[in-house]
Amino acid sequence: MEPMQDKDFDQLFKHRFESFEVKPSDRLWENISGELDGRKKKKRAIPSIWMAAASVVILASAVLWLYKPVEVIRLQGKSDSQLAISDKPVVSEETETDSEEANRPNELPLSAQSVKRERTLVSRNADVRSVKASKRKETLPAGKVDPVQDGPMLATEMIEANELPKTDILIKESPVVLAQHDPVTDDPDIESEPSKQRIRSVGGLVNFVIAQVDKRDNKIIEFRDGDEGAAVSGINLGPLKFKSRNK
Amino acid sequence: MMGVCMRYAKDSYEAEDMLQMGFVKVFTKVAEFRGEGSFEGWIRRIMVNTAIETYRKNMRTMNVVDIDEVYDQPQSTFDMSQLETKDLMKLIQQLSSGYRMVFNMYVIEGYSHREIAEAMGITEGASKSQLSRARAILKEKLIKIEGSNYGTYAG
Repeated sequence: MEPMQDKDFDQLFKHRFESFEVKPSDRLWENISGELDGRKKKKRAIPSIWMAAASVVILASAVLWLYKPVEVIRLQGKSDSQLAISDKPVVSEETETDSEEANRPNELPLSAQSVKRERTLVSRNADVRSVKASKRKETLPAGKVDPVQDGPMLATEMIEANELPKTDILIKESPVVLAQHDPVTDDPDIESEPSKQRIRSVGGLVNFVIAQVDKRDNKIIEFRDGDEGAAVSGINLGPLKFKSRNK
Repeated sequence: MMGVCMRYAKDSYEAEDMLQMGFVKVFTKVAEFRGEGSFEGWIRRIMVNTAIETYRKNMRTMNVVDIDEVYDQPQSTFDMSQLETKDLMKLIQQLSSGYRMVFNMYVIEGYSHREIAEAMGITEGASKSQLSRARAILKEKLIKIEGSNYGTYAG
């Protein structure tokens, strides 16, 4: 027999398979109709679910990254620069009100209150002094005059009446001063912190920028200047943390 | 149509997957059928296109390198009538996917080498060489089968 030609060979296969058919499994039709029904739903339902999931993830991560660090810092007493600034004029006015009755523009409600209190205190003290002075002056030279004696009597009553609120105000005043004093003493510490970390390299620059955004102890990424340039010394991705020991 | 898919698949499971995908396409695109040629031929083209898509997807995920090099090309005749079509189907399915695609498209569907090259993203020369290799492998296997069934065929 002669060797078979490719054409004949192909023809044999073609002839065999042209009308060849196999019955697929019974389940197939159900699968096809099921897929056709589910097709329209799938195309719209799945993306919205994914979008919702993605938005939840983004929100959660945003809360984790941005909200928490601010809280932590407040708890540690590293007050915001705004608070420290707003407290400063209060303290200065407070000290000055003792020497003179301040007629300053009351820009801040906090300082205004304290100034008012101070004023009343000072004015009351002044009243008491003047009353005392008048009492002494009037009692010594003109002790026999009846209507004058009524004055000292009233004055002593006034002294007693004034002394009680005076102590009250003093007690109220002292915690205010303490509370305002603390941020002032903390202030230089906060300001000195960034100045300690000097920017010497790209890593230092990145550290500085990150420190402005990320207020946690362990920054999202931290660089350390080594012999071979800046190297990553710490990573903090929430649950995933890494920090090199030799800092 | 299952028969068509069977030829392009390595087994009946893959063939059914192809068939399902193909039929879903048929139903979603049935409005695009313009009545040119037979409806069966249209469906058949969709099936073949589905098979090509599947092949390309598989190529991307797992790059099968065929080491089935055929050195000698036996030129012999076969008594094909003695073989069941399903045996031939098995032989085709045993071919590596690239050979199978080219063989089916060229021999049975009647595509030209240029069409095959375009559809599969290969060169025309590659299509031709793969076809000849596929033929050679099939012939070799047919001889083995015939030899085991009837003894050495002394032509």
